[in-house]
Amino acid sequence: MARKPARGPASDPELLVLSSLAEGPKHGYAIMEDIAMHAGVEMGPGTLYGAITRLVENGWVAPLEARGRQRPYRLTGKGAEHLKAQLESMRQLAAFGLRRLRTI
Amino acid sequence: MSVERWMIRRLIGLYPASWQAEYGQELEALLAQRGLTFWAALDVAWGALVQRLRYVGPWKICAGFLLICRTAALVWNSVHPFSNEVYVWFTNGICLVRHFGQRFEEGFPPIRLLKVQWEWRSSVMLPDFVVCLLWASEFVSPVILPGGAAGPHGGGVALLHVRSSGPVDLRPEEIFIMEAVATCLGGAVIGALGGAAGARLSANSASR
Repeated sequence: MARKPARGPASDPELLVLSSLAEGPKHGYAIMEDIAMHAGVEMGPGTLYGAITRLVENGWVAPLEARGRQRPYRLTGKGAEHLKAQLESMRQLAAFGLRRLRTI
Repeated sequence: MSVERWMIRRLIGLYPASWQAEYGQELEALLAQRGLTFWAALDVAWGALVQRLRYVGPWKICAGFLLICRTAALVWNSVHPFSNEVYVWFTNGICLVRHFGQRFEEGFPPIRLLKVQWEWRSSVMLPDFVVCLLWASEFVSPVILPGGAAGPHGGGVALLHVRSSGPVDLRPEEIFIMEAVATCLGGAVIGALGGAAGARLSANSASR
């Protein structure tokens, strides 16, 4: 379980997993470590695999051949498009909010 | 086998079999590598519940939830029998809960839902078929009655009362069994119709 992650779109497990996989294929443990290191969110194993399940079902992430008991996942083209659209929307929202804050 | 490994196996066993076949081995490897803390165990158990609910039909969720409500109310009523006033409020509450379930499936925003719920008794904001469903569900699921007497909304028990031409004399376990069966049946009907209505509304709004 993510221990009190920062609320908001930046703590969405699916976006975090997609962002982690944008760097290249990774297995579950490596995704968790990457997210903890770069996003500061400690994602729990149940949350991580819940997100992976939904991402695979949506075709945004695809499993690769297993290495031992661990199986790496890669970002698909559709997943990259979705991630780009989500991040762009977050960027626009952040820019809008910051612009408004400056006018107060 | 160590206790931790045994715990990990049990936790993964909580997931649906099809999910376990797909992801079970890698989740087990991850938990073994990372170590099983209390929070990790809780997170995995929660994840298992979510996965189970994802593959369960809406009617099963609805029936299960109603059964829990009815059982709790039955126990409560046997300790502190409801007054007529409380009983009516309780019945309204059950209708409200059922309706919440249906509306969530249709993707209603909670605030709008509350507004609709607040006004539904005295207005025509709800579609007729929803009101009919609510009353039909009341008919198929006998409600808990104060002191075992037939009440104003007690569809099933009231019917028994009329047919036996006298006060209904049921033992608590008989009422419980009837409550359980009828609640599941009512939940199944409401859940299935609610799901179908939700799917139809979604299809209509998508085609617009």
